[in-house]
Amino acid sequence: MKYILRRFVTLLLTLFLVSVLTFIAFDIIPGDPVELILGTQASPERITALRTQLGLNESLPVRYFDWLSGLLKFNAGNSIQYSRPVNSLISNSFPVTAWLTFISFSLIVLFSIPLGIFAAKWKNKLIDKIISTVTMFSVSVPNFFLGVIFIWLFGIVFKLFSPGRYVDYHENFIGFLNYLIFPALAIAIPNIGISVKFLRTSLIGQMNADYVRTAYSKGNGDIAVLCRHVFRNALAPLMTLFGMIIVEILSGSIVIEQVFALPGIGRLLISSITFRDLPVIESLAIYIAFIVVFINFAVDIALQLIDPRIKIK
Amino acid sequence: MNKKNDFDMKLGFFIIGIVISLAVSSFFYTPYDPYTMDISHRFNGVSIKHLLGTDNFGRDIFSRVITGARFTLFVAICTVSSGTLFGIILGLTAGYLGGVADEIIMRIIDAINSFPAILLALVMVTVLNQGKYTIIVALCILFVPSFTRIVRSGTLQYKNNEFVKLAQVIGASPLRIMFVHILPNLYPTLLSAIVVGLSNAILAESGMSYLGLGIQPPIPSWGRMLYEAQTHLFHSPLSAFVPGMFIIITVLGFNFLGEGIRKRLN
Repeated sequence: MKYILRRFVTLLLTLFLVSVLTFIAFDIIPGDPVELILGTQASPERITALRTQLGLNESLPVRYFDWLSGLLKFNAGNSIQYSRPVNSLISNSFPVTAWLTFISFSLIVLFSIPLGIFAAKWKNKLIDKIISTVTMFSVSVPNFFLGVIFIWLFGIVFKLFSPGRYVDYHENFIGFLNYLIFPALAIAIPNIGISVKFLRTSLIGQMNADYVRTAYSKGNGDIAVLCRHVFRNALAPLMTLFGMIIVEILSGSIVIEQVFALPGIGRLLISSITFRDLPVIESLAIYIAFIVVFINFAVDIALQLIDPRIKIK
Repeated sequence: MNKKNDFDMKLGFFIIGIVISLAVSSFFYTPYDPYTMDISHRFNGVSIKHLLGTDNFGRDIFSRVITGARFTLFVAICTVSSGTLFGIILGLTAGYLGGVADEIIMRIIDAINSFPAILLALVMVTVLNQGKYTIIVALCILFVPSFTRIVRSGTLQYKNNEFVKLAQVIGASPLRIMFVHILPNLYPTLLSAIVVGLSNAILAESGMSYLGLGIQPPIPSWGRMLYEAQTHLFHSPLSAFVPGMFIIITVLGFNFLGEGIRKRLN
């Protein structure tokens, strides 16, 4: 309990620092938001009025707390590019990214766990060498190039999907999921490589432990020892890995959504950066960072529940 | 096992050697000018005249790819070396001084690490505004946290050793102890981190350039070439595959080298 409490304090501290860093970063950007909204020809009275209305005349800490309380109430102002509330833009594109993340994550778990176990079980044998070599290649391929290859191979050569013809999830949910499979695969493949490598190392590390010899001496077979004994002990690093992987998927989807023209968070972010739509960029940055901080927090708590020996630091 | 490590290292050196010599030779000679457009020769295939074909503007892809290698490697080396430099300074300070300095540095590093890498780079590009060197500064910050962590944990490991205590006794200044006595012990670990960092920097740079926020056209970069070729994927998949394969081969080279170094250290 003490651990959870301490971890909670660090959580709050990190959230605070993340928000301060983001606020300061966007505050030092040259250019006046008032000028951006009203144009250069606006009358001085209108400029002063808008400045007061936006709270730009307040001191830095006051502006920070105004901004933060707006964020926490899910009211982050209006987008300059679309003149719509930032939050409605984000909540419209969020489901696409969420489903993409979910499918990629499932693919990674589905492939990396058996492959990692095979590589560890037949350590230094042919199958391990094949898996290791394929892994090395898969971590060296940029996900956007995989995406382009998939568009060419599955979209143009085999015609398994129509590139660029995104299916909205409101209209045809199955078609939507179908369209997401190849982008999800492009995100998943490099991460499967990372996971297999990580799993192999931690499983091999466990296999030299005393309890493994005991389990064998009781007459268990290879598979039984691996699945029932080693895997349980390797569960803690596995949780850490999965926390890391979700963050990697979020990163990957920013680029991949651009490759496959998916209207998710990533595409919104890139178009906002190109347009210099600062309110949208700022909110997306802070929301994504908050998600990452919460995932790390959840992983640490889960680790503690799985294995109470783990203490902070 | 030893032979295998050497093989990894040799293969890595061999691949990187080829890429670097292509990049260097592009300063003196390219088969065609990488910027000259020739609409009458659009989408040419592989031939003796154009080794790797031509792109949508009729520019020679081979010339563009080796010129692109130069900029990609330049950005990667600049970002990783400045990331290493900041990492060394922050890591040594946090590890050796400990206490409040350590707390402050590590909490800020944690906060920076809460942003996924590409998001952080994108935010930096926004904050710094588009410019020629923006991409280097934006990517540099990605490498500061990991190098700080590596140097800090190395420093903690050596901080209480005899030789550090002896240096303190004879009155060496903290700066001298940090940089002259502790730092050299961390070189091997840093070396493998730097090599892996270079492969990550190449991936990050080409990703940013693909998104149009990295190296700016008309300067050729692998990521941007891939993006431009994607529109013409139906006519000419070749102009997308060539820059993509160059990214893979280069990254693979650094990964093999890093793997070899890492295994040799253990």
